[in-house]
Amino acid sequence: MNAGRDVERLIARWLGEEAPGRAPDRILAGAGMTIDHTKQRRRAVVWRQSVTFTLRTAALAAAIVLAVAGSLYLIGGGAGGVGSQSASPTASHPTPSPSVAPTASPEAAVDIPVVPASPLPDPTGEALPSDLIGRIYAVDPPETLNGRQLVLTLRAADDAHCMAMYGERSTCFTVLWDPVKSGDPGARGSARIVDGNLVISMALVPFDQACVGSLATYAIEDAGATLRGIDPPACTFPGFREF
Amino acid sequence: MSIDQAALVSLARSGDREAFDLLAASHVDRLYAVARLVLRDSDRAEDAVQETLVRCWRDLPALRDVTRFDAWLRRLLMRAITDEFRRARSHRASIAVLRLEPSTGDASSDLVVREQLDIGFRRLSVEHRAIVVLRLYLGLSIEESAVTLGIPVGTAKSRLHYATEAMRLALEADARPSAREVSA
Repeated sequence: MNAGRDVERLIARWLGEEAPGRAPDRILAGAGMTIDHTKQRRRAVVWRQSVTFTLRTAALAAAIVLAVAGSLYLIGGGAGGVGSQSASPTASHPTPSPSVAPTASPEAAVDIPVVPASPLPDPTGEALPSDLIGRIYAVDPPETLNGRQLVLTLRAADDAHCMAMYGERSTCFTVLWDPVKSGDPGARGSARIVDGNLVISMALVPFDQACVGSLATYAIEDAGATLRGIDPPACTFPGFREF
Repeated sequence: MSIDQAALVSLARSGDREAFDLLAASHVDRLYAVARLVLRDSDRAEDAVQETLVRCWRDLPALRDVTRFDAWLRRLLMRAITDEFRRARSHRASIAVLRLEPSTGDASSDLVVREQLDIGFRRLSVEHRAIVVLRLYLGLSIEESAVTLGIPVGTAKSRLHYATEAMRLALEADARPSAREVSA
């Protein structure tokens, strides 16, 4: 352990000696010239604001449902326990109202395929190879919100999501918050191989209509562990890294 | 993060170019130092830092919490460094054979150690170099380093352990006399 600490101290001192004190001025000058012609990615904000709004809405819905459920529980318990004796000897535990049960938990994991309003055209390129199917990636740089992470999943043509969009005609992707909750926004579309790269089409992006139809290309690196964006459109994602 | 910096980040995030320039100027030395240490190449370090600043400007509106700017910027830098490293991989391989062998005997022991550290460090992957620089140069905690690299804490710990162990072995191996020196 001490030997390890000694080596760490040695490395730390060496790095301190090796580090340049000042950056060349041309870095700022060069970056400035590029930035002069670079627009900020405003649409990304719209996406995230939509997400925040949706999560707030979901939280509010959850609170209302819990309040209603609680009220019904109390009313039910009060009527049975105080107002009148139950006719049934087995009714000592209040049974949940049938009207509450189906909507009781917006927190429950929901991963519902989305069927497009009109048929999606056949995407170009080839289906994903089997070694990419089922792989799960974090958006890179990571996007987190309240402990949840934005996640890309590459799916087989017979996956329910792909079936809903393409009727088994294409492999596809979803980008969803993990863990999944109902009411979350998501992005979905085909995932194909074109010229050896992964190409995803943003077919269903309900919270950013301007992004619908965009294609994003990613170089497949590190045996598929890294998907590096090749000049992806502003509304999509810079890259992905496998968990 | 200072209040001044938070204000600059807020302004830059809303498109204020002057604020961004001030922000960039206050970070560029540190960004370059980290890039230069990891990449071991001035030109590529410059490219990585330029790319980081451009991405910073472009993606800044996506940064929700301005107090997280430093950590966010470090993540952008590490991504640019990794990209630059991979772009340069083939070229790096071709110049690797030109490296000097560690000097023996006549150089001062300090110089020899530095040379051995340099050789050991260059043998590491970019991921291992990154964790070494974040932890031992910037002095980030292992948790902060893990967040910067987008990896679990356990992975960060194991990478750091592997890297320091590899450099220790490199020091020991290069300190050992070769068979020819022993027989001479």
